[in-house]
Amino acid sequence: MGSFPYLDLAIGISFIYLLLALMCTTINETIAGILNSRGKTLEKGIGELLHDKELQAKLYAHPLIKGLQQGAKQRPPSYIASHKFALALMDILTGSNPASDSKALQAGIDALHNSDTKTLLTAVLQDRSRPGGPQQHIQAWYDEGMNRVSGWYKRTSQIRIFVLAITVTLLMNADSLRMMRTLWNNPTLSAVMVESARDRLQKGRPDVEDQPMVTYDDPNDPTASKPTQIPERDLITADERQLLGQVTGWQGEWYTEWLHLGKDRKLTWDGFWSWIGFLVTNRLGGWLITILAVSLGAPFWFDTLNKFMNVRNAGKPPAKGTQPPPVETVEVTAS
Amino acid sequence: MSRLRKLSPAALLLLALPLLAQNNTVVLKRAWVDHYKDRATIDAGFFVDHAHKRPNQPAADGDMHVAGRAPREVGLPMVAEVMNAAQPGQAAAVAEIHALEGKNQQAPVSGAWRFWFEHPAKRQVQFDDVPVAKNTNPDHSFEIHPISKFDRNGISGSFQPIPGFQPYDADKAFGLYEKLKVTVSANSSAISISAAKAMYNYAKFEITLLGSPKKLDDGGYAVLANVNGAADEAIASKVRMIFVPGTPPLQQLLTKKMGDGDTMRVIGIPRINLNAIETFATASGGKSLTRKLPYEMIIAAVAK
Repeated sequence: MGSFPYLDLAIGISFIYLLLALMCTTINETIAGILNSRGKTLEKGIGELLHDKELQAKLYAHPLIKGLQQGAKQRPPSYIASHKFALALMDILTGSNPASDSKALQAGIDALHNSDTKTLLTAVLQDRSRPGGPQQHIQAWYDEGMNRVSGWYKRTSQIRIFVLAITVTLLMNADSLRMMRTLWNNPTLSAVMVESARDRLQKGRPDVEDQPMVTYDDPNDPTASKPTQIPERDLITADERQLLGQVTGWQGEWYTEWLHLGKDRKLTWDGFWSWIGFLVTNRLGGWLITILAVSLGAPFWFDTLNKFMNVRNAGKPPAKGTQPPPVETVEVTAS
Repeated sequence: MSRLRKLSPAALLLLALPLLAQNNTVVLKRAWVDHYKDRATIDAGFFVDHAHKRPNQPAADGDMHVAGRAPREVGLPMVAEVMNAAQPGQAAAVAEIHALEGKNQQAPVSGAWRFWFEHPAKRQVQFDDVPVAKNTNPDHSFEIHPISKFDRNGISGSFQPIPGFQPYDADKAFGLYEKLKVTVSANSSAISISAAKAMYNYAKFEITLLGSPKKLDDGGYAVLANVNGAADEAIASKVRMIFVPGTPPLQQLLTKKMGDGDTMRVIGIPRINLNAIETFATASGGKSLTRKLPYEMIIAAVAK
């Protein structure tokens, strides 16, 4: 172990959590992209807001909203600005009259088939607690509804990240206690981890944090911001994957333990259940720590790693020309 | 295993340490953000707690700092600043500020709202109780700066270059602004904004407009522009430029009917772009995310 054994251990384990969190983020964004979960959540939210499928279909077919559809498959937009929603809705309701025509707007509401929607929109327009005209009233009502949609998406995303953290942890057998023990007992590997962590830090924070929050696509409308669609990922390198493989994985353990615990070294149900018992008593604690840690996300572990590295660098400046020791393969066996 | 048992608590303690280190945070009401995100200015009933006895020296920026409170409209520790405060045009406003200092008497004040982590506190929550300021520069992230009107004294003419003051070079100032990060999280009623301390109040730069200016709800204007560096390259792109009603920079923008491709040399003050924050917070589902800090520039003067 080097001059800073505890610090090197903290750096190593933070680095591992960062890599695992990056894997989860990549998978999560890929799933979200494939499922278009933002767009679907928004669609569901607007459905609950309007209570009228026919009106919702007209809204999504309106040129102001249709122009926001994504990709060749014309998937529903993941974000609709409140002023666009209000203008499109008013335009649909007023028909051939100007969208700002209040009487035509009320007439359009009265002509709706769904009585709930009729009552709702009338109440929104007559709400005297809000300042401004009909457009501002509809915008404010939409924004309130979108807060609820944001809550749904947040909960869904959090659940998905947590499920991914469980999946990645179990698939990789990423047991924190075992990883710590491996790093503690293998100073060479620990030193390589520190060097690799340093390389990772030099790449900067996950790219996503350097991205702008929004874009202004219409140069004549500096109030129409649109959230930037960012692929929240920063792929891990082959070297990092190799390092991960040295502290995680099921090498040998999944079948040797089963065989060992089974009668006559054969695969039996008794052996299987004994093996499950072994995993629960020997691995569960370490897995839980990993799952909780990975759920904190890549940016958190990047910042944490950076802080530990700063402390280490402050304690002992790196000597010029120091080369990282060669990677040593570590045999991981069940304890 | 015994070594591991000794090791685990220590390692976990080490891992918990970063939780203790955080940025400066302000929690704003969403309704407030929504109201002001596309306005240049704010009108507030302002209690003057402490004011500089005299304006800063011209070399220091020539401003006069006034610490106070606007519990109804702002609800945060704050400072209001008079630009070119030593100039005769601001004398009546400055005199009235001094007359009201420490009297716990409210006066109407208008000016550019400015949210920026220049003198931040660790954590401030909007519309919590705001204590009386103990000096002219309490920890604050909110300012009315520059003031355009104090009580009945209109001072929008103060939006002029400050004689004897050298604003920050564009490359230096925007070099910093472009590197700033912010962490935003939100729920249905509030937006939490966390960032490190920022600086560089007055920067002098040239802008190239990217479209037509748009009138805002309060009579101010916003226009998207690129900021040109010394090497004639854009050092910041699509930045919102905010023009305050009744000020010389806005008069020039409108009288010259400036638009796409026109250039202007200006002096500006950065503030957080709440339009971007609000859009992002809505789209991100409220989860805590770190991104490049969205900023916009209050145009404080047309540079000579």
